[in-house]
Amino acid sequence: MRLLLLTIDFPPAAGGVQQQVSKLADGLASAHEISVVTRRQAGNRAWDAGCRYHIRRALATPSARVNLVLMALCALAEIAYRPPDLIICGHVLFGPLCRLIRAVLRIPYVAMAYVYEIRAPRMRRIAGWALRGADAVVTNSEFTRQAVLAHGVVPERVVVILPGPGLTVATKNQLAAERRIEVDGKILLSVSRLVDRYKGHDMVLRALPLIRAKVPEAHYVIVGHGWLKPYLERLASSLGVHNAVTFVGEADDDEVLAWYERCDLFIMASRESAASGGAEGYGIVFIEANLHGKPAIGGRSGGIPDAVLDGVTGLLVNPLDVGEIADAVVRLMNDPALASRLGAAGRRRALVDLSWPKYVERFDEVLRAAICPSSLTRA
Amino acid sequence: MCGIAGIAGMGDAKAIRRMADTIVHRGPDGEGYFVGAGISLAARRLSIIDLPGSDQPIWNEDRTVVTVFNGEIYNYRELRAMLETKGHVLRTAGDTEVLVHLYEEYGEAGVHLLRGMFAYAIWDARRRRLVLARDRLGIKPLYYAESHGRLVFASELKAILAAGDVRRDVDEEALDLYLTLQYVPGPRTMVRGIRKLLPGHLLVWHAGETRVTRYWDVVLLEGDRNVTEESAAEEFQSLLEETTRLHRISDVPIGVLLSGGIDSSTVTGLLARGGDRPKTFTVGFQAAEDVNEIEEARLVAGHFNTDHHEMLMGSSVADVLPRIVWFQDEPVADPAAIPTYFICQFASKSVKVVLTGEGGDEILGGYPRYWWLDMSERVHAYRLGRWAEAGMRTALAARLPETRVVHRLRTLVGTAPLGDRHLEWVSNMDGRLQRELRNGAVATGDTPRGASVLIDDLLHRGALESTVASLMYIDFKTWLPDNILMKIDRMSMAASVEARVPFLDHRLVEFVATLPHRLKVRNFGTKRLLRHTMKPILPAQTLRRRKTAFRVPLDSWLAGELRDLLTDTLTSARARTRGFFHPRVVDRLLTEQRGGGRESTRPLFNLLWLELWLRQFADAPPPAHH
Repeated sequence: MRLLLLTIDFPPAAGGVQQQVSKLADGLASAHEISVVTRRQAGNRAWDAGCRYHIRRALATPSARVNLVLMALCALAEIAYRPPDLIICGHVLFGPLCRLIRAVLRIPYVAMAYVYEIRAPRMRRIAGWALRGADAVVTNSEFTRQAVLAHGVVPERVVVILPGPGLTVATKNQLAAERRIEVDGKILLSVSRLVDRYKGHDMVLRALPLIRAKVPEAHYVIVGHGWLKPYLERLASSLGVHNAVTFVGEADDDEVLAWYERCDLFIMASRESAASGGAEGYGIVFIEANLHGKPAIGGRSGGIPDAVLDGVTGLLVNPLDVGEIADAVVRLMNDPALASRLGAAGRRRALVDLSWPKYVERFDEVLRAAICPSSLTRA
Repeated sequence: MCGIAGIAGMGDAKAIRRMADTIVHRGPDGEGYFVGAGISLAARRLSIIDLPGSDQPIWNEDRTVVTVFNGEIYNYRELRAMLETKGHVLRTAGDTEVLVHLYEEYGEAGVHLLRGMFAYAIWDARRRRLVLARDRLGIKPLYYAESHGRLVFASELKAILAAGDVRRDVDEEALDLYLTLQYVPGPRTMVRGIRKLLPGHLLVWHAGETRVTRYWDVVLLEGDRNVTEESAAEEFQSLLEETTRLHRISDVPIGVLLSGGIDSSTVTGLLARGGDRPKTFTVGFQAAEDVNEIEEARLVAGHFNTDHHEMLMGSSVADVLPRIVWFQDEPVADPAAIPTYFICQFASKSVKVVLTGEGGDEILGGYPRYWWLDMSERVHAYRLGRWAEAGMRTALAARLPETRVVHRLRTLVGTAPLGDRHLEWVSNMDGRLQRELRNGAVATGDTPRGASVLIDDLLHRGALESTVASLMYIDFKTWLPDNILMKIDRMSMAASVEARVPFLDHRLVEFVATLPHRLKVRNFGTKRLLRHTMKPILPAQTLRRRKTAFRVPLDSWLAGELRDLLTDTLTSARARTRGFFHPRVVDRLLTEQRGGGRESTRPLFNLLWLELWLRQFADAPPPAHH
């Protein structure tokens, strides 16, 4: 099959979606001829050179809208040059283009949905139109599936495939990065870009004084960069816990892996924004932490219950209840046997159930079914 | 709601009883004492929740931890349930008891789980350690003094004086701050040895050593572009409804102090929508039609069909002012305290708890000066400031009368730093007059820099980029706790009524603090978010009301019924011998005022309040139970 994948989010930029899309492209490349259309970014040349599939990158401007138009033009060129059998719509913003192409050229398309992009109020109309026209929609969690169904998509066409861990391979540099870590104590780790308030770093910071009342050596490490960082730093000092928090800032893969290895447990107490539709679609970072044998604590919200199995690979907490967040952390820090049991189960799940070959295999089934609708089976 | 007092480092039954006796008005329903080795604790109780059960002091299971507590914990039911699942045995049905068990569970960090208003003391008998905590925004007061290795603390300053440990020395730096601001910003008080525990702070005393730490501060966030007015209003409304519901928790009847302004009308509206028919209370002035808010309040009361009560203040201001000063405890020369005193007395005849709109202006950007100073900062950013200043130096501008409006205009175009311009705006006694009063001559001696240093320090600590956020932060740290909340606490307690302030629920404050300020203050408009949210609920006329300060006919009072009190007090030998102020300047102000000069009204009122305070607090032991 000849495939065309349209995506806004793609490496070398960091992020869960970026990881998911590139793992998919890489996996599909072993059975299909695949090209990717995305946008240019710093350092993409080195990345692209290491890929075994064709990548066409549109010029990037400061305007997101202009970028979208340029990427759409690239997609049209790609379709003209190498007509695909099927298009994978990696972001609903490409949905209108895909739907038009499907109507005119009869090329089917499979849409991917993550969560926020289809829940945000300003995206409601465009997302609904794009999703309803797709031959199939692949979501990353039951929560996202429900959000897709809310747009009026036929349930038979919506499939949940849980993604696996993004960062997997240990490197030589990782060990060097581990040696550079100079934080003592029991480490509580969060990894994400610091651009969305719903990720819940604020609530973990608010729980930290309670945690340290019971585990004085507890230390919170926040990996990631973004405009929220100064706010979180001020918040930490307003609560009197600035000495118990380390802001790592932007970190490369080696450093992130090193932190996963070094931490005692991973936490993201994400919540659902009351109004703006923001929520965690799934949470690849939980699986990454699991892969390193670490238990994960997640906010009971969005797609997180699919990423963190409560009492099996980690604990779920009410993300708005600092007492509950603190209790879960203290429980795992004071009970190493429980922590390692959850971590080990998480690692098994990440390696076996959530491996990328399995993800790609199931995605491939969806693609084949989309080409030949009668064979589509509900996952 | 109660009054608390204690002495760590000494078990003294007589002293602790003397202290408690000065604050009977805070809790007339009951009293409780604990005097043990190295500790004395007292609580006066106003019963609101668990009327028969929660007499203080309250102990833990094995009587090793004991607490006295002033305030309300609105989430106490959730906390009780949580503590019970952890194996704690709770014997009462009230909120006080959660404090000792939270302490057992989390030490002093337990304060982070409390939602409400509070000032409490916990004595850990095993470790011989005292913990004091004050709520995040300073709704409830807490004072302390250290002497001879002991720590004396109480809900009110007068109770500490009654302990007899502290000399009644006036802190002259606090005096200068008072002249500038009309109140003394914490942690100082007017008495040198007594301090306020700052809002959001904990104090731990052990073996004569005192350690004060902050556990909370408001953190203002700017730049979240994802937020729209609609989404913010939706979340704001749900939080506001939740906090109003929480503030309704009570085993006794509750009412609302309704001024007809948008804040108290919001509280009334949400309470009425919640299914109650609230009792509402409004005060007006008999002799001063132009400053009455009776009509506005009546409109809102009618709209929500409340059980509305009105009172008109008669001409007894001169008789009660000394009493108000006594109840106000610290000198806070806010004339709005007078009607607040009367309305609380009035409401206390029918209810024991009142909800009020205090804090709405501070959290939602209700003061026009936020907008004006922001504008002037922008003008300066475009280098227009120098032109504007030059314009103000022209001959034409020099002929403008020195009124308050002109003064503010000069402030706006002046090139002084933001902190100083904020002070010029809020202060009702300018630096020159203050210098004259203190030194007797124009432009000699140093300008008191205390207030300026304080404000600069706050600006530095807030480290905020936007002008509006910086100014709001300053208000959160000074004006709100040390004037607004001090006034509502003392005036309500004077009538033995509990005042609750739903706008200052910390969850609501934290949420609003993360909203971009364009949603609060823009284009001359203030409190945009609140107006937007309440549009479907409040009468249109109420929504359109512009911000006015609590209007009090101070000019006519000073010219009329307060005239003799003013002159007699300020020209008395007792006042003159203090030597704080130059008599010639005081006389000049009095003459100006008699000649109809409105500019001297506020400075004179500040001086009057201060002298009445000095007589009752600095000169003699305060009489117990006025």
